[in-house]
Amino acid sequence: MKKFIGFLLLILALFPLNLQAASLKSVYPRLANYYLKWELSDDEARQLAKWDLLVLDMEVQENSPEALDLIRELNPQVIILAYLTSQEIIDGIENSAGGANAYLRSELSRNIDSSWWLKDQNGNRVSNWPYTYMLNLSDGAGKNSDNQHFNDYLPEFVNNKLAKSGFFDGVFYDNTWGDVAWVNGGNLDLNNDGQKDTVAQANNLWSAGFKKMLEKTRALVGDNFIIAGNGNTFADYQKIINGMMLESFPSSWENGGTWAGSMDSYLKFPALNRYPQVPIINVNKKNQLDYSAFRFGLTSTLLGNGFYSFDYDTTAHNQLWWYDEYDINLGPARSAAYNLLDINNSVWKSGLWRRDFKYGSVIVNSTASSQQYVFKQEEFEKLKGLQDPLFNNGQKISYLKLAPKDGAVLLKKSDIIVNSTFVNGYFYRVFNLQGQQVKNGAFAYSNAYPAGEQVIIADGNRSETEDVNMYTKSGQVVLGKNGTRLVSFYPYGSLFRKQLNLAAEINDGYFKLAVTGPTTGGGPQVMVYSADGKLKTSFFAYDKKLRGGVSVALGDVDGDGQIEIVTGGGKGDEPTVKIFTTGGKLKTSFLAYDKRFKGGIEIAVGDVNADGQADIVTGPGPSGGPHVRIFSGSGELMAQFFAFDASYREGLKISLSDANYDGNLEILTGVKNFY
Amino acid sequence: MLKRISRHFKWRLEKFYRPNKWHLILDISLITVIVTLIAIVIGLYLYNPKIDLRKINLPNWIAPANPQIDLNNPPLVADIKVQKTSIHLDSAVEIEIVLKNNGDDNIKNLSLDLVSNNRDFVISKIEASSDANSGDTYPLKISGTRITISDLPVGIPVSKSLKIFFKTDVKTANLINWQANAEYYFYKQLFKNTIPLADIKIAGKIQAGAAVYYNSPQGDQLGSGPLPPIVDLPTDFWIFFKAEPTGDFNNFVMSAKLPENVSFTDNSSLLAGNLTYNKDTRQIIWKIDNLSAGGDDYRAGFELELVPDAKQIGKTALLASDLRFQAEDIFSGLKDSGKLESLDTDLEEDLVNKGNGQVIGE
Repeated sequence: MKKFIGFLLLILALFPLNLQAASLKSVYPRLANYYLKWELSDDEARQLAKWDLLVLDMEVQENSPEALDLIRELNPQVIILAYLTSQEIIDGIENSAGGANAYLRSELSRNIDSSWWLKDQNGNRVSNWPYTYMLNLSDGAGKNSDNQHFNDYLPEFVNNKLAKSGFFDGVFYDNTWGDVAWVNGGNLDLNNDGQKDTVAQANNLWSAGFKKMLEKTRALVGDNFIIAGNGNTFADYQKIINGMMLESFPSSWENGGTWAGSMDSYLKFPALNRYPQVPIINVNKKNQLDYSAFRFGLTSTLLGNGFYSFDYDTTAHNQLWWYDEYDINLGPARSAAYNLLDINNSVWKSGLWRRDFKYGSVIVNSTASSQQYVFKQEEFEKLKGLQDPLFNNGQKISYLKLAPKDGAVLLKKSDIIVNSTFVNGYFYRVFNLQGQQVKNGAFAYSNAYPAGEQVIIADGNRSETEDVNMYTKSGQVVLGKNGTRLVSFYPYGSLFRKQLNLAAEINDGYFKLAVTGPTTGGGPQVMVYSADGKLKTSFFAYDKKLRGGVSVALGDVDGDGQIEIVTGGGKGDEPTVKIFTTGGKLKTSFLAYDKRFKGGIEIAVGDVNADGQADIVTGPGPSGGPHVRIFSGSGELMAQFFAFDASYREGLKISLSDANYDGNLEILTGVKNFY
Repeated sequence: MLKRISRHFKWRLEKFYRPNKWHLILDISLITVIVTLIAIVIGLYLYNPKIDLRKINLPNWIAPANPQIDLNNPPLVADIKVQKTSIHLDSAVEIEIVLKNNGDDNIKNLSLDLVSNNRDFVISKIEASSDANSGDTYPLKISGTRITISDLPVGIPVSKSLKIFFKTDVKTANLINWQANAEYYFYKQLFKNTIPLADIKIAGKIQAGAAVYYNSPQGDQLGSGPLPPIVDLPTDFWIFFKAEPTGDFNNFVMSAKLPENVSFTDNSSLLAGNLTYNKDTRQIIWKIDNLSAGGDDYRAGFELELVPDAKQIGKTALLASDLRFQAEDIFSGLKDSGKLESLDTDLEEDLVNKGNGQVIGE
């Protein structure tokens, strides 16, 4: 027993539990905004909440605490780092006009000991940035009355003023340099001996002092508080911190000043960093519309696991620029980066680099010439974007031609619809709530399921090979997993072999409840099953003498926290939508179309307007036009559009799924015969 | 009953006969006439005269002198064999007519009228079989749906193979019940009889279609890659097959062969059946086990990738050839089959890209 406990302790020592306050989202892209305004409006906060990681000036804590609260309310998963410069400060800010909204800087400035300034051999303070003077982070600096160097004081300031405030998940030390001898033409006197330090002296004193400051910060703030740096990447700091920002990527100061050098640093150092690793690539362009530069930075970032930031330049990090690519969810990464021009060589160099994700791939051309790549047995779609429609034209592609220093985010062409019922083999168009086609139409088909039957695939965060599904087959419902049939049953008896309508409640990739209704030819009897195929209840949603079937859907349409069964009348009946409890008790009903239309209606339920409450989407059955209508749970018409030419009369099937991976449900309208 | 009759006569006696005896005489006369006529009718009905027609001397303009006719054994023996009782709608029914005159004199003016009892099917044409081995031994005349022989000699069997064509608007599987009505003169006596024929099963028709698209008729992009196709770059097209059965069928198979620079991308979408690609034979094969008459779900789509070579510059590129299909009609047991035109990048059915398929260099 003692040996076992000892072994357990050893295991715990070797693999400490990561009890982190902040966690990283598992899907890409990861977005960062380096937004250094000292005050934030509510509107800015609302917009900033869209990013995954924010580097905000520490003064926001004092000037706009409600904005920070609002950001967290809108985006509970956001990581917010407090920005401060590690080695410089506006001297006397507390007494200047600009100090009015610089409470923390004033506090810091007031406590700066005169012996902490970095000086040249003549005792003059050194400045590396307008209006600021540098501080000596080495132990060569003097001490204050509390016997502290600046590298002792700064960590205490960060811990006491920032970490303990509860507003931030971490601190962002700007100018986390590993060397300093390049400053002021090398005229530095870190050890205060009145002599100009040699390059080695200056750099060694600086890096040792800086490391001491980081270690002390870590000791004070603990493991759960993120420490990020910005500057040239210095290996000796990396085990202490959670990551580095590569500002002005690919910057002249980073690892040789090339794209390959920056990428090497970007990919190499996170392995040394503490969890959660937060490497950030920041690309600057003074032109918001330089989409090529934007894409080159984004796709380069996506070759690794870091966060991407695109803004103006080092003098003005305060943009809220949002791009079409930001709306895409590529899902979890499925490969490391690889060079298509030298497939077996993982050394970073100019090339055509690619990385694959669950829902797409990114390709970067870091060479100086145009590159063309032909996909073999792969099909991708470009984004359908508004900002650079010539590039992001939404087209399916079989090859890609990329300009030098450009990149592309490509979506995998999907043959299936997840988390919503679809008819295997139907052609589906993809619309947003406004009735705009947001993606190419495509056939929803998998040969793993019977052709022409209804299928639901529950998609969680599993790998592509895992598959939980439910489908109909000649009057039968089959529940399967990974190609194995788990349960099958005939809702209406084995003699009823007509096609069925099927709906399911899906929770985190698994079925909770299933509902069936016959198609035309069967009575409007709704059967409710538990996930293991046990009948819970059944009821007739409409007049039991009718033989037009009944379409079914599931969702919490009235916001009461309970799932409701929503039904659509079949052929021969008025186009009535009815909402029942899962026990079959009618809650409410409304007409989806003119009551004279008796071609039957198809329905689907989901939160298409992202208000947290499920909506009801209807489409007419055969003989009706392709008129899609979206209702609230109370039957209020929210939107409507025609999914195909108005003369089309063969009926629509409706599915709701995030078809373009933007995090919102799209309305998919299925037809069996477009040609 | 007797009482009622007796009462009636008493009443007539008192009211008519006693006042005037002529009433009685008239009634007796009428009753006598009625009874006599009834007796004649019954007698004629029961009378079997056993007349030998051959011994009747008919006028010369009706029959020859001394005819020898046995009505129980009419002179004409006709045997009409239906060679195939299941046919396709657009094919003919082959029959063989064998006639023999068992009488002692020639049969004159023989006619055979072929009549369909199924109102939906009308005999449109009769042709003499051109088969050299059909064993035809006697000339006959065909006029519309009537077959005539002016003179059939005694004792010698004659045969003739014919093709019978039907006309109909019906496209579904069907059963034709039909017969031959024969008329002829023998010893100037008109003889008529009906010859039943074996029922004909008309097979259902299965039709198939194939089309190639880059964009759907409503503009959705289905294919990918450059259009017009560019040498050495892949362009993907979607091919659609459909089957339209007018009857119930089994074992539908439709296939196409891909040229060397065209490959199947593994992308497909079916509403029925299974689709496979045989890499060795380069054949796409679509199979459906059972098809119901009038079904609208027999559709399959699949994606082909063309990588044109320099020899194809300025030409449309072949995408699939040797398109053929077949299926077995359940009702008739017959196989139906057909061939379709090859598919190429001319995109004949693609409203958006029609004529935009000539390969270019770059």
